Amino acid sequence: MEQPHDYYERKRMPLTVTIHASKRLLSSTVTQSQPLPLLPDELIREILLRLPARSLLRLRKVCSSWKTLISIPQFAKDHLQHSTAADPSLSGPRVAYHHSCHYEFGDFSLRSLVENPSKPTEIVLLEERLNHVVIGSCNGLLCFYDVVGINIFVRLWNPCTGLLTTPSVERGDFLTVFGFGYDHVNDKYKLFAIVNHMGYHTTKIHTFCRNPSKRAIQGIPFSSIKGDRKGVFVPGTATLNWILDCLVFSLDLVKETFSEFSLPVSDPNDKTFNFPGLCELRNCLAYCFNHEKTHWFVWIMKEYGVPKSWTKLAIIPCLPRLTDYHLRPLYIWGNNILVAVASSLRIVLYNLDNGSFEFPVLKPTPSIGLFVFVYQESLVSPPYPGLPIMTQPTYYEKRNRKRLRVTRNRLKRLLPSTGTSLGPLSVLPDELIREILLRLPARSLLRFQSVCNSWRTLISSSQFAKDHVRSIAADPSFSHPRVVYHGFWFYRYKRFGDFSVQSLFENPSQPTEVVRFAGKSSHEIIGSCNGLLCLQDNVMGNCIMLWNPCIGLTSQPLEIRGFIGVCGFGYDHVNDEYKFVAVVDQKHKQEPLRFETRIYTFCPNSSKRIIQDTAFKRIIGDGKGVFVPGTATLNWIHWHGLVLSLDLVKETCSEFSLPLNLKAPENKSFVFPHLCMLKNCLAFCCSHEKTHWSVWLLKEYGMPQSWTRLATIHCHHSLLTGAALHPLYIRGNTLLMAVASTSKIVLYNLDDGRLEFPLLKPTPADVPMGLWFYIYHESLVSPSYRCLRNTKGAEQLPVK
Amino acid sequence: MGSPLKKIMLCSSEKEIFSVEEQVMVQHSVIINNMIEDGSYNYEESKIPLDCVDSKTLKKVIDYCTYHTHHHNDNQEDLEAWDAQFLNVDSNGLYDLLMAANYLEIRNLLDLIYRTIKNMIKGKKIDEIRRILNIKDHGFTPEEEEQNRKEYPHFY
Repeated sequence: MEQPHDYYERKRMPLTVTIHASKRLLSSTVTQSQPLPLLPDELIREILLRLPARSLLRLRKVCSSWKTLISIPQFAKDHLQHSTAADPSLSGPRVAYHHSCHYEFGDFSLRSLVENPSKPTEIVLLEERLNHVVIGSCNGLLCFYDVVGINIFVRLWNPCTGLLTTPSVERGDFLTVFGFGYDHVNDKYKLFAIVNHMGYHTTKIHTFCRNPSKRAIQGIPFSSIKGDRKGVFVPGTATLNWILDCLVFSLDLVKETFSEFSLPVSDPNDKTFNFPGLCELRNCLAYCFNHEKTHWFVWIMKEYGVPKSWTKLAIIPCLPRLTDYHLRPLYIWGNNILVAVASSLRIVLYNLDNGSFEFPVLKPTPSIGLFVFVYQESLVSPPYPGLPIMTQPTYYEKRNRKRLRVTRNRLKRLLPSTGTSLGPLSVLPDELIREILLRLPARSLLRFQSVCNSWRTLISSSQFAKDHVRSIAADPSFSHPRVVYHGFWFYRYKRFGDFSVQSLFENPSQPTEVVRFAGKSSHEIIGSCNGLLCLQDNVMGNCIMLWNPCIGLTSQPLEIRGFIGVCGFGYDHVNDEYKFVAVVDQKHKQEPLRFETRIYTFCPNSSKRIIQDTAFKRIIGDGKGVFVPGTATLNWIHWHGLVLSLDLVKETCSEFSLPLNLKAPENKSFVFPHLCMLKNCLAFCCSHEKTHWSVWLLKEYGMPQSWTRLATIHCHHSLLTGAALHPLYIRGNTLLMAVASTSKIVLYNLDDGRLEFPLLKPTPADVPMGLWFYIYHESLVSPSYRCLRNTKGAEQLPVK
Repeated sequence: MGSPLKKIMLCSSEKEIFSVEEQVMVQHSVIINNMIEDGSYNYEESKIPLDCVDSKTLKKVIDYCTYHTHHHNDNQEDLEAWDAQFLNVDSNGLYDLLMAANYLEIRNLLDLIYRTIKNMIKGKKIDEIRRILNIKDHGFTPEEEEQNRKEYPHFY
């Protein structure tokens, strides 16, 4: 009896809001039914094409064939086409904005804004993008420029999948006129920019592709561009559009030529039309202007390039709540809701049918400036060079490695004379003090804690320590690298010390002072990052601890049961955790040896996880993983001649190739391969028939195409013909510091091949071998929780 | 090429008006670049009021921007020498410049001043730093201060 009743009820339901009702009806019928028979792949594809991008990201996990299907670039393209052509609201348009002065970058859903204007729409604030300035969006990609120091990089980002290109286009000048669009004929994304270079305007079209190209175009009268200098991209036409002298000025991204056509109302002498601007609505070019400060007119060009097709879309009265000088249409939702941004820094919904206004609420209230962009969520991957696909979408994203910029330090020498004789400065605001302190070496900052209480609070905060590490990475001239070494177990350790790299480079003939740490003589170094050293103490059981030699703090020891084989130490910047990885041999009473790959996290409840990976059994070399900053990976060379990379965030392994195939018969003469870290990149070093050493640099992590030969070191000295050459550090582009045979430090000039043997005092070891060297950059990072104060710490070091 | 030299007006705290080439300021100051870009500056009427920058400082800031615009291609050493000479001011002047550069967001000028102040305090004794940066109240209790001085006498 119940079944028919239920059915009757359902039929009686008024069909008011059709989309939702049908959705509810459909889903309920399906869930109650039996599982469907297996569908053919083509049909699955059709169904998936109708789902929003964000759901598809989740659905990749359903099964491997779905994963393959969804990850194919062609699927992303078809999906995009489907969602824009068929039902734009399905694709979940979102709004991204940045504020020019308040350093805010946020993102919110247009759907919840339109459907529930009275209920606050949640804004996702993106702290990572504070200083990013959006240039434009198309196909779900945002193009923005990223300011790193005083350099500007242009990057593409898909907020939905979280993929971001590496900063490829570097430019130090301001872009004055620009636009971003998609050339669908050649399937290329292009950036058009007029760069103001010392009063000269250079016009460039930059293509994002494997071999980025730049072309210059001549003779464009861009100085008289009106309104926004950002070109408006019209999808499907491959054009960027500006207003120029009461005409639309159009750049064809396929042919890379210009054309002009007229605007609907274009009398240059009529002063009643103000604030003209172009925008894109319903995939058409739209034109918006103010008439006598009473009304806004919105026109739409139904057929691109045909001035006759200009149609009046709306006349919007200037409400007192809308101040009169800015209104930019963003999107038309459904048939009748125009979403616009007004100069009073708020979003406005205008109903085209009945002329009513609504002012939706956003939470937290953003400082929306005038830079607001609508984008469709899509699966489109930003073109090469992009980062590897990440499993977690959207706001999880790898922080990019900042490449080392070597700046000359002449300024330093010139400046102090101007400052020393000065009287006292006025009291500086705390933010500026912070900026100045971030530029000082860690060791000075330790002393400066005694200057005043507020400095002490500032310098001892963990956030300051992190920012300080970052500022050092951005500008190596702020950093003071040191080399730390330990002895080999065969000689029962007894040797542990460190020395400054700077004095070694500046005065190779003058002996550099070595500071010995007697208390550490039974320790072995596993790795270093962010100024922390990971130490293994084999005497006190098998203990692992972190030590910051600069601030002299040691963490509580972590006891490892079993014998440590392959191991490594690194930093997971996504979770802000330091991790130790070890393959441990464990003896059980009767059983044979058991290997376990464990990942330990240094945190209050130190956890241990076991990952299943057999690859670690066949590692070449000393077994200590090389940590590459910014990528959160540890790297080894696998016996098969591949790089074995362990992602410390996801805790998974992957492999990629070396610059040469070590297993190929013609490469038999390449011997002693090993990895190291130079210029914040992974480096590979091997010897060729003991005649020369080759050093390669992996410029883009995880991209084997980016292996670049950095140096060839000829073995004209007997010290270089041995089995070891471990590059440690490179200064500028010429001076390489390396450890050669018999644990001797050498400086090799890459330009002229000169070799120098800097002196150390006292010499690190009486027996000239069996030493292991590591580079570290002094930092204030505390070795995690529960620190032990080490009295023989920083104060023992010479203070300069 | 080169567009006609458009001028913009900057107004100091003393209401003195400075007319500058638009490009000079747009290239260096993020704030002014944004103002021009979003069209909130009207060439006929408006002047940009900089209420917290006095005429003397504003003139210097404009000097800096103008020089760096026109001498961009000079060799690095000459530019650095010019910068060093440019910052040869008394401490009040340096402070005013820093605040102005911060307000106008002139990144390379900010960086230059940060470096200068950094070099003023680097390697100095604590007492000297307190004098240079005018820190009168260090916020430590007398006991803490005495303890510090006893523990690290060579710092003071």
